[in-house]
Amino acid sequence: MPIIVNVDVMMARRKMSLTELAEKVDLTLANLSILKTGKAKAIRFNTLEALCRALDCQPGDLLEYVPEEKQKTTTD
Amino acid sequence: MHISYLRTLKGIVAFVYYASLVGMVGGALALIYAYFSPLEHLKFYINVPIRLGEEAVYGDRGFVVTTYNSYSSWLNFDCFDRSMFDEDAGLYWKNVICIFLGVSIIVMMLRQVKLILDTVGTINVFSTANVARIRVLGILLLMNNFDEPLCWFLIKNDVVALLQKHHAAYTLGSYGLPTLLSSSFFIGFLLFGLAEVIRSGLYLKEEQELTV
Repeated sequence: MPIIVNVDVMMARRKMSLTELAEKVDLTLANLSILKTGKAKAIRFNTLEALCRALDCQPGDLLEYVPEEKQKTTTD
Repeated sequence: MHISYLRTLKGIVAFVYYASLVGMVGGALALIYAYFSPLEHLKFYINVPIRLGEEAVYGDRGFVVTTYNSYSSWLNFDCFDRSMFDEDAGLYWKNVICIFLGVSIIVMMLRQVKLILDTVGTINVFSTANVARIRVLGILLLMNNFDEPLCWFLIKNDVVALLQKHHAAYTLGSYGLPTLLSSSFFIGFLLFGLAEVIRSGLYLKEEQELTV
């Protein structure tokens, strides 16, 4: 998937734990884990809004587009 | 009420499946035993699209062919001379292979139905495994349509040679290829469609589950 979710990066910058974030955005740990590990196929606008509010950032700070060819070269 | 209906259905399918399995193995053993046993009188039946000119043909050395004419006839071969039977052992074994092939397809279909029914009532009912099973069921139903013409192709020359050897009058027919409207052929394709519907449903379910 060429969309990378940088929730873990933002969490580290804000020094916030997964449990703390889950409580703030009202998401289950399982769902937050899906998001963090990049397994998510879609994200609702209200979830994105809650994450931006909790982490005090913009959607662009959480989501990044990396073309698949570039992803392959970095993994190689 | 629903659970008891499901349990009954599962029970019936499991019973028919195991009975067919036992029948298939038992039948195969009986046919092998009939061939290798020192019996002097041997009988075997073939269901083929052939019509005899008369109801019974009396050949050499006590060889008798009787028929029950219908769309496809049951030819009933009676060999009272073992050496006579040994001459036509090829036909006997080809017929055994054909019977085995037909029964195997049915047993495999029953197995797929049983495996699908076993998942009903569990969370695995809509799974990729069941999609694959429905596809296999469709393939087996399509194969079932070609079973008879294939067997006829396999044994036709032997049956004709045997009837000619005993100077029997006969008329040859053919099974023809199945048409799209023949029921099992149609159901086979329908199952492919159903498998695709369930597969896309599974995709939607997965997408829904992975939407945060």
